[in-house]
Amino acid sequence: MSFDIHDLTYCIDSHPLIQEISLSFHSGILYGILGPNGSGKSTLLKTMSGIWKPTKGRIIWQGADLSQFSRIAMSQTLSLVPQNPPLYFDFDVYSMVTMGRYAHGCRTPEARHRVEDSLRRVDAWQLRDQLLSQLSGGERQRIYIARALATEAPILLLDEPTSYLDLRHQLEIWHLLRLLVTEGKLVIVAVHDLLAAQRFCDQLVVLNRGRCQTSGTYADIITPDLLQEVFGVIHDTNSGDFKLAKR
Amino acid sequence: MKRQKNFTYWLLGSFLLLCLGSIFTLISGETPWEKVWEGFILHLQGKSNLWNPLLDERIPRLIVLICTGASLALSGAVMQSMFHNPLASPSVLGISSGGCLSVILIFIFDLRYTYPYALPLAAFAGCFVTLCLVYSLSRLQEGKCLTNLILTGIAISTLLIAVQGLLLYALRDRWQLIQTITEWEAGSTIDRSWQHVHMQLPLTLVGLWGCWLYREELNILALGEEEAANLGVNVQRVRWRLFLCISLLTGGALAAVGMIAFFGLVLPHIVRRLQGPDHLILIPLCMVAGAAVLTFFDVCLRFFEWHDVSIGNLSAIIGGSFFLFLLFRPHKNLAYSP
Repeated sequence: MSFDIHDLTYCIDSHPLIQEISLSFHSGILYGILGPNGSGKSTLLKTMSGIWKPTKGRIIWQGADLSQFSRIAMSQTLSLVPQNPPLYFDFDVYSMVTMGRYAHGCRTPEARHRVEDSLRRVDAWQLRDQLLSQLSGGERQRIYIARALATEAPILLLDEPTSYLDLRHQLEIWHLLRLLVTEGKLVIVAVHDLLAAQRFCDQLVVLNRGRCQTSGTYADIITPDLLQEVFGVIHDTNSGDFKLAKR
Repeated sequence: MKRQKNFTYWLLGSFLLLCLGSIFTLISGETPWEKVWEGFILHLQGKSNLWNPLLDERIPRLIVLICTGASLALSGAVMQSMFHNPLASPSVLGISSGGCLSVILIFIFDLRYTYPYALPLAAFAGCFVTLCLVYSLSRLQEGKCLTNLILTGIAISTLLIAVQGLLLYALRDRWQLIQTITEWEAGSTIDRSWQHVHMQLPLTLVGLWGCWLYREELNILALGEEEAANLGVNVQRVRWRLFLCISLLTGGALAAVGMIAFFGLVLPHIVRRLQGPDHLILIPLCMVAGAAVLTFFDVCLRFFEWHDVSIGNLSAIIGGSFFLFLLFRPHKNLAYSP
């Protein structure tokens, strides 16, 4: 199953945050979106998810234009796991994950089964009665992933899901994402960590100043020249160290 | 699960308080209960058409109190969730002031005797237009909607109060009109009749039903606009429908009782702290607790015979003081902090 974006552009006050990005994604593959701060990773994810309406361009899922989808249908197709969203009111874990079932109906026996299944998959069933404010950053991130799983959307978009997490929690999240990919989900992750991208992502997309610089496997595209041009660092291939490049 | 268990206790407690307040409202008054009851039985048997305090004064008063308490508490709860701001309420955002100005215009043009239903319709329209105005203005600066919302509400409210002041000053010679408006603005439940019930009840029922229908959307909207859209809520459509419900609830309460400040701010705030933000629990509890507390205020006024204090004054004094207490007490184990 393919998910394509054509000429995707998103502007605020005529200032483009992402420009003319065209990419093709396929189910069963874990995609990483790399790029320096402000390169447009979060904007691309929010625009792809339909939360932000693109200024220009089309998003196609299995041949159908996503702009023709209702909000409910969109939510059944894509689910975004946001990066550290604000917590205005303190819901408990079970209620939060149940909200993921909104597009299918929250109060059905099927919903209860799905919520339980999603919580168990992220190893958070024991947290179901806890308030979100009582959870650590890693636990909260797992809850947001469980909510995304509860939507049953075939496409998962994750905005830097491992930022603020310790090493163990980072690994847990990455292993979970790999598992989802083997089950046939299409997973697209905005990521900062080059090593994690190398180890866990099948394909990478590199963004620079709102444009798609390149895409492909880590081995094919991450070259010293690209690192210097996009991230402003020099990669010493002998020592493996990164140094600041002169601007 | 613990919250659900507590919910039953709080709901039963509120219901008990409402029952006690209702009994007091129905049996207390200047006319002795025996006479009232005798007249009531005669009326039921069709042997008397005389004015009866129970049928023609106390029951309508109780219905108006219950509707107003439930309406204001629920409209505050819905606004706080929808705007994810614990300071949002009909009075703080200037919605009550908009409804109030419309009602004053009805009084000035003497339309309430010719068209009695002009009063609730004007109150509803005033509330709705003001809510739309405050919301639209607060969204002018992208990304600052929440910060701007309360400030825009206060600014619009101040402007509307200034216009009211201007009108009242210009009409200061019409002392009877000024007295009517002053009494109405203070928020009073004295001399409520079936006409007030007819003015308020339909608006209240539709408003309450509408809010209950959108309980799941309200939960999701409380997470923020982007989260709501992500989970499949058509944010704009749901928001405009909830605006209508809030305006119906606030307009109905304004038309029947007048201004009751702070009630819609403080009561849902307390209920949410006790029971959390889930609207499946919050909506019924706010309705029953709101009705119970406002009835209790009315009972206090009558029991202590504070004839110079209206229910609007009492609500504002207690609500304002309690809100200050909530703001300045140390925060421990709170569901959320303002």
